[in-house]
Amino acid sequence: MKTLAEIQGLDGTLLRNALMDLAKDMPDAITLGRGDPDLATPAFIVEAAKRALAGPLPLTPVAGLPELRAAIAANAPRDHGITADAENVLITTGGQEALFLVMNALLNPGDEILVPDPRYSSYDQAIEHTGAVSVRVPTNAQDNFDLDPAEVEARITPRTKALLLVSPSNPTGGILTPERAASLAELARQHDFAVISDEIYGKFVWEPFRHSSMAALPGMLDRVIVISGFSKAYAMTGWRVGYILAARDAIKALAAVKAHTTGPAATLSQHAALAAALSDDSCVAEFRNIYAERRDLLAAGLTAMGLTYGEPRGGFFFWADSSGTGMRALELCYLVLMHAQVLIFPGTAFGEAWSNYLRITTLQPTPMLAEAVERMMPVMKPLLAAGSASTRPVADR
Amino acid sequence: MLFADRIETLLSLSLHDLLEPKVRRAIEEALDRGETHYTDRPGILPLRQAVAASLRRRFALDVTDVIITCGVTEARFIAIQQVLQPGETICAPAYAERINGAAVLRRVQVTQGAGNALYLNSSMGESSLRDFPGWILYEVDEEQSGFHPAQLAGREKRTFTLGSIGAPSLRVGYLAAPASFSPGLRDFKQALTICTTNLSQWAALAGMETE
Repeated sequence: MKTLAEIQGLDGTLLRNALMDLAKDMPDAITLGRGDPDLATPAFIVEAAKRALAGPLPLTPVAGLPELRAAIAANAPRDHGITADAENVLITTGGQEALFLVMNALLNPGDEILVPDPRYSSYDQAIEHTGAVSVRVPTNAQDNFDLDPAEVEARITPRTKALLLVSPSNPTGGILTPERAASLAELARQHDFAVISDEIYGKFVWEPFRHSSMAALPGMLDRVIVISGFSKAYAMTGWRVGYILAARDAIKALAAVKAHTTGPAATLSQHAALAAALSDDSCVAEFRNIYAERRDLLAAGLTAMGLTYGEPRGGFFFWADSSGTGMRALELCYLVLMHAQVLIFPGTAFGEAWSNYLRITTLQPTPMLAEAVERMMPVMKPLLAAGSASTRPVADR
Repeated sequence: MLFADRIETLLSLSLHDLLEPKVRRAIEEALDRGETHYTDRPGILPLRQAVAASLRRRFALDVTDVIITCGVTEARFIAIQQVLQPGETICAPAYAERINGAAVLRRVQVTQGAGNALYLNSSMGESSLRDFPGWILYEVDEEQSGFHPAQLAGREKRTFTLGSIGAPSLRVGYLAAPASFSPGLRDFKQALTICTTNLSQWAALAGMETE
């Protein structure tokens, strides 16, 4: 088991992995770290896979099972607000590969890509591989971590090739508002850069907010590359099926790259994804209700501890300010893991600047979440009370 | 005429596309156990152990760290991205088409002569190895050869072994590397696909157990 000293030098993905490895050695740990839905893949999808097993399962074309590409295209108006046909779709080995392919097809050494901060750290690795430069665009709590077009504009240079968006956001739970999306689209047109829109959490946006894709804005269809998949929406992380929606030429180029990264996605997984894509999405509505209940429970628990957090408008995450504890988030997470056996991630796993933030997921059954809150309370509450006392003006003490 | 459609379907079936009954059963059992979530990044432990045992049996290799990949394609891709630096070269005496794309994406040149690394296949035999001094990417692509470059003195810490497991549509492969490379390879695998398809890994394991 790694010690605190051994993980202190880590950040990004390495830090997340080190903490997950620590939790693996604790049989009673409740993990609120990884973005892996605990819910089972819906039974009708599992049954479809079993039926497919009885027949032949040849390799599919690299771009994917034609029926699946067509079904995703047919759902594009509902899921992304755009019209598409099968040739606008590339099936990938999970959303993660989609991200990697897009970065590698689009970026050349020396190009710049604008990335909101905090961010999912796997973006860094995919960008780094291309030799391009990741230009961080800060977001802040006062703005609910929404991306500010003025901050984006201030960082545009002649080398700017793309803007990366993720809405709902991992890790903040924020979403891109329609007004800001329109301003960002105008910047993209004006400065002629592409937009990569990661919409993997798009089916989980909480009322009164709505998911909207940049691709649906006027004149943006050929400029936006949409990344999504089945992992989060249908609790299918282990099946590894994602997709890219883009202009036909872009899909051809991306398929050419994919032929050399992993080849086609697993055939059986694509048949299972097809069942999901052809469904009426009532299972997603059920999931949404479950996640909404958990979000409310966790919100109440974190508030009772004394933590503040950005409003979770979509996705599975709370992005909580831990500065009131007087501890760096990494040490705090280690303390919570050791004393409460609850795994949460420090903000530095999502950007160097976020040493006073925690990412906490809702991806455990309600009773487990309640227990996690109960276990965390005696660790967090005194720290937050002491922290707040020490920062209170003297006259108030 | 009554059975024309069915006959046409039957004629179009390739035996190669049908999974073995044992493999199908393993997938059904894995589904019933709920094996539909991410696995550990390097793959499920029993499959990694089975690959290590297989390499030990066939080549007398002492392999400690195996990463399960999305087909041998991903194993080739990860190895090339992690072993070579942009601007370097890799020699491929044969089957260069298998690595050309991965090399382009690393901005690495594929040559027929000298290189920083050598891509070899077990089907090419021992003579292809010559006295190559650099990294060796050795793809096990047939069932017979008992030769492995790591058997030669000084080569075990410079040789990466890769191959595929099971039916092609499962998309399962493996990559066994010198220990010093393992953390980098795992991290790169995470960045590329997080993990290999869970069910496919259990299917591949069942297939190996039938050997």
